[in-house]
Amino acid sequence: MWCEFPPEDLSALVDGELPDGRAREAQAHLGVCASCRAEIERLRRADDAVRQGRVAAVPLSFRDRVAEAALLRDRRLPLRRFGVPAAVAAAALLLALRPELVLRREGTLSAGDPVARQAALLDSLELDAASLRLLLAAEQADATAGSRLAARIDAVLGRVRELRREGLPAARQGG
Amino acid sequence: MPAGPIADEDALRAVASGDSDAFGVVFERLAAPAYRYARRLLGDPAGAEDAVQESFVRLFAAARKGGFDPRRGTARGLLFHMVRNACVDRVRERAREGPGGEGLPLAPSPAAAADLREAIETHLASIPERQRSALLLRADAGLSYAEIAAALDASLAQVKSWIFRARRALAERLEEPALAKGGTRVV
Repeated sequence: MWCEFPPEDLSALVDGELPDGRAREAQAHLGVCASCRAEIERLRRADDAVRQGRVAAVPLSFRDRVAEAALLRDRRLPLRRFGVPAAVAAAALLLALRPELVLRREGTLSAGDPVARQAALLDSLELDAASLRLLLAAEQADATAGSRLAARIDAVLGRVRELRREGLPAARQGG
Repeated sequence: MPAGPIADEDALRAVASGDSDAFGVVFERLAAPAYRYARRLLGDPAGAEDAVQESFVRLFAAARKGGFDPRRGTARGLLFHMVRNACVDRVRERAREGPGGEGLPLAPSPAAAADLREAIETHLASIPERQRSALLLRADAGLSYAEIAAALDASLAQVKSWIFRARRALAERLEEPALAKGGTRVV
């Protein structure tokens, strides 16, 4: 027996993805069409098979693997979770937070190039300010002291940004 | 009134606010279906683990940077999009390995299918990848058509068509005598 009702719509009906009006039409059609009733049962059996297939369970160690990989990229872990002094945790986090700055600073603080050295000092200021922000968050300073400290951090960072915009003194002198 | 379970999208927003633990909610919900999907696309457990791990880390990194925009789709749609891309990359890597490489998704050969479950996997693997993905994401992972469209970079009409074609293809195989009896299908 052949029916013109689109079988894709029967499939979408299985999924509850037909618009309301069309779904009502499909239901009404199913009431009178044995061929489509058989077809929709076939489609449902395919879904049953998908769920029945040899479905693999997630390996037990998988969560740890993903968590470990994700945590290595997490720059915003609560410091107290580490159970070590906040300053140490902050320093460790900063290494992860801005590795490019740390590497640049290590490579250039001892360099003879004054421009590179000044750039490294600016990086240091930025890192120190970021470290203070982390410590502030970790220690949950009282609101008054916290807001004053946050304002000072912002002032330091503002000065760093200003210097970056203006260009470094050594760079200007050196042309 | 007790709070209901946090939505995936809210969890990802919490991650952006510094609550890394919220990511665990998303992981618990989606790790198993994501792994099953990758496993069925790739065929090998190690590759599936790598693909899903990579996808979760990318999702986590995107969430932490506030890069997840719920207006552009759901967390599930985004995750499965990442998983599929990671799987496709691996399949392409296999293909680049040359004649000895395995460019196609691995699946047991029909002759090796020892029972009905293995035969189902074999026949699923024979369905074109996008059709198969659409069906797996719907029937196993429970994604909506809109989420599947986001995951597969497709239109809703394509998703509807792919799911139907995959269902019909699988249904036809299931009706073949050897498989219907639970035996090995011999091509």
